[in-house]
Amino acid sequence: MIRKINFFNVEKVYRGDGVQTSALNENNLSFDIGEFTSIIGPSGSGKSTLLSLLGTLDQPTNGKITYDGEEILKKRKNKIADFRFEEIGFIFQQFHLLPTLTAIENVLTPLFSRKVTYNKQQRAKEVLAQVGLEDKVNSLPSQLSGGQQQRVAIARAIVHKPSWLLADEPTGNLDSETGELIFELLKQLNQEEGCGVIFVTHDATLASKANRIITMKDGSVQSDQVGVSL
Amino acid sequence: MIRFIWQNWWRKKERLILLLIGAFIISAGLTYLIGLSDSNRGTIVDSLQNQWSASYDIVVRPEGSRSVTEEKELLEPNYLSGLNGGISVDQYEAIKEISGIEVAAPIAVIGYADYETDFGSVELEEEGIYRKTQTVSVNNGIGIEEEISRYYFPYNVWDILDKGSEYGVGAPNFDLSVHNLSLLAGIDPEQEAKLIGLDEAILDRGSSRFFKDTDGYYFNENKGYHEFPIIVNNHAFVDKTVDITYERLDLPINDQNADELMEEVKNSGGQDYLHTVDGSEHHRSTYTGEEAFHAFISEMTGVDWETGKVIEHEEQSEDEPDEAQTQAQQEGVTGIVFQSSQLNYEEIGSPYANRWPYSYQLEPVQNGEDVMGAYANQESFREPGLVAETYTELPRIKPDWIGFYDSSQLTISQDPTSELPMETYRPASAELVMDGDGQPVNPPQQLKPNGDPYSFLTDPPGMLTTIEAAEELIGHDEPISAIRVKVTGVTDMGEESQEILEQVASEIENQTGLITDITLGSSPQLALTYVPEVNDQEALGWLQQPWVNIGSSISIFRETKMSFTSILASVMIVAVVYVWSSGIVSLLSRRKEFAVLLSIGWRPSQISKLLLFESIIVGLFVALTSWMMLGFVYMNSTSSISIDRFVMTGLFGFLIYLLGAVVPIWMTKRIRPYEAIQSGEISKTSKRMFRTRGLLTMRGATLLGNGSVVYCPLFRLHYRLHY
Repeated sequence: MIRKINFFNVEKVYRGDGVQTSALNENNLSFDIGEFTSIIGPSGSGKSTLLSLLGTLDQPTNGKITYDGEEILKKRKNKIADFRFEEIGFIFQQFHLLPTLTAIENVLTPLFSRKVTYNKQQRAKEVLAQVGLEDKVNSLPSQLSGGQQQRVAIARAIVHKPSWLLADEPTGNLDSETGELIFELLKQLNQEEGCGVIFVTHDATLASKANRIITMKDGSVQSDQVGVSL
Repeated sequence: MIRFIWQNWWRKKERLILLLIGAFIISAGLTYLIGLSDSNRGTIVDSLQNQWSASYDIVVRPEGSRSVTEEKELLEPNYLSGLNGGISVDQYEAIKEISGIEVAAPIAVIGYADYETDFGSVELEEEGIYRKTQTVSVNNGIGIEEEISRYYFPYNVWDILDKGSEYGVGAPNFDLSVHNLSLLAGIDPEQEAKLIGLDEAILDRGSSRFFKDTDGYYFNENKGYHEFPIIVNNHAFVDKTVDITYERLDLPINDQNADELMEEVKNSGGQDYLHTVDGSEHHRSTYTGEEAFHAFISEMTGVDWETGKVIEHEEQSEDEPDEAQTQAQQEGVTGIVFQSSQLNYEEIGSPYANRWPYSYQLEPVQNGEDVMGAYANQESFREPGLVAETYTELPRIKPDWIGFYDSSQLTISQDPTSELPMETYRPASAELVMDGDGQPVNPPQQLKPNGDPYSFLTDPPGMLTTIEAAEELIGHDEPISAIRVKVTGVTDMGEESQEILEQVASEIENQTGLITDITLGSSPQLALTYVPEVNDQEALGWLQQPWVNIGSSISIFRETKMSFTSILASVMIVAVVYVWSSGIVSLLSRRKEFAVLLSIGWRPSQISKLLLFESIIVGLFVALTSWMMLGFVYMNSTSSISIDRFVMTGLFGFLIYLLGAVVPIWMTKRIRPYEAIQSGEISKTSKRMFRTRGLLTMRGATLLGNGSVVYCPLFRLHYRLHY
């Protein structure tokens, strides 16, 4: 279980066709397990880039990211994948469920070809029940509403018991009521499972409900307010 | 994972159907093309083998015996009969000892022996000067060649004792006999029996039999002749007629005026004068070559050729020999005079190169005064020569006619266009296709041998004896002209056979220094030969002959094999490219899916494994379908299939899909997990080549900048455009 993630002068630059675009400027940040952090900012402010770096999906151009002091990103791809499997759970704005798989099969996808100590089927059912979809176990994504699909995506993100949940605008494709429900679900997971939740959003109302709010603009952290009550 | 793959397919039925159709097309195409190529290859190989079979695999010849035609790997069909020794018996024994040699059959061309068929003698009643005219007419297939000889003699009217040739007459000749020349060659009976079943072709008539171990050579010191066993070919290949007439010249000669009249004859020009004198016919006999030959066989076997019954000869005591016969004739002694020789060719431009790519002209030999007999100061197509250095040294022979063989019973093809020349047993074929002026001859006329040892087309050996006898008759230790070799384990044409033959041929060359040619992979090649005018006779014209193109069949075989391999490779490449393309397109549509899987903790190797499993499953489907289709085809047809080909066809299908997975698998390594989170984000690989102003420039920008699926690096750009 990774308890602390540190960003040291992390910079991300995209280069292409002679154009250099700085997605993330030198940032120094620290995240602790158990925190519920929301990252807010306009489009192109570097929120998703920050999240992808946090979740080991991408490498920083400069600077370093440590996980309990260890630079995981310097390891081989398969080791990074193992780390991601063990520690990180991702939730996407477009849900990214596999349309040909049922809800339970989608939940099980991270566990394919992985050896775990628990019963995979039972665990998948548990997490689906946890997100309130015990009656939709065998439904295909096309048979579910947007909120239900996102809940399946959350179940998939927590099935392997990660210590960190990274959500990239999980409510972006949902109406405000459903978005509220999803936020509550994440808050509940944060409190019950004790995992760190980092929540990227455009919604200032939802963001304000986090106990830490990071505001970003033009690739830089504008403010980092800690201690806000959920 | 298999379940994951299956559900992925099953729940996208339209994609599954397309996948199955693709796999089915690959299976069917593969099965059909492989079947077609294999059947074509089989047809070509069968055609080559059917069209051209060889009784022997390798021919060994003496060094320096190559003709100018061999520069183009061509052997003229008469090539063996023209060789005169050059291989020693020791070399032959050494070749026999080389491992892998099943048959080594030597042939030693000795020379043209004279044999005579005796039809008795003429009985003349009236005294006078007689003219014996012998007209030999030979049908050479194109025309009649006629040779007339006249001989004059006095009968019961004038004593020729101590008279010279200036009188134009000679000793009385009542002999009704026909002379023939036959090429005599030495063979190893045991090897020849193994090679072409000569022992089985012996005629069952009278005492006719094959050689025995006890048949030996003997030189009769007292009488100075060679005695040895001979078997004779029962086919007379020369179509000739011999007409013998006896005319009593209209000269008023009697006992009283004989001397005076003969003096007048001498003074009038001798024989030249007698040619002008008319005569009255007293006897005429006509014999065909076949009759003469059958009579000869009957005489030798003691059995009538027609009826097969034993001929009962009238008792003739030794004290009363036939007056007409010389002692030598009575003893059956004859001689070998002419040596065989080769034709000389000169390459010339072909009048119709498309039909006859190879064209040669015979180079006649201008003989000098010192050349023997009828050939002196004449032109001939082959160089005349004696078997001995001088006339007195010419071998006198008294053959022991032990048997007759029927060359049509030999285990060789009788079609000269489909068999390596076995001119030991049949004449080479030649067709007149254009006359001397280049005008076409329709239909082409078949040229037949005329019995002249130095003409264009010669007879095959008509008499065979042993190598031992050949060595003694030729008088030197290199009597063998060629050795025909059959190698163990070589049954049909192919790479394996060729390799064995090359090894054996190389071994023969290394051990003996002789030259070898592999005849198994040879094939007939129509070549044109221009036979020019000789001795002021009209040019015969252009003759078409099936020559031997050394190694051409094996070249065709190799090319066919190469083509077959190329077709297979092409099928494989096309199929692999198809599978790659469909795999890449599939990957592009699933790129986001894979990025998501990576982001939720899948290892990159798991994605590769997923694609590999998918390919294996489809590959197995293709293999099974191919096997089922092949099985169905062969169950419903009469053709057979080799297990290798059956297995290979399915295996190819499987391999195609396995290979087809390589590029998509390689491409998955380039998928980054952050692609899952990207949506309309910054792209670092997109390029713009020019400003987009309309539909055309937009398409151009898409093709050049991104979106092309032709080149792998562009796939990412393509992806960016769509996701």
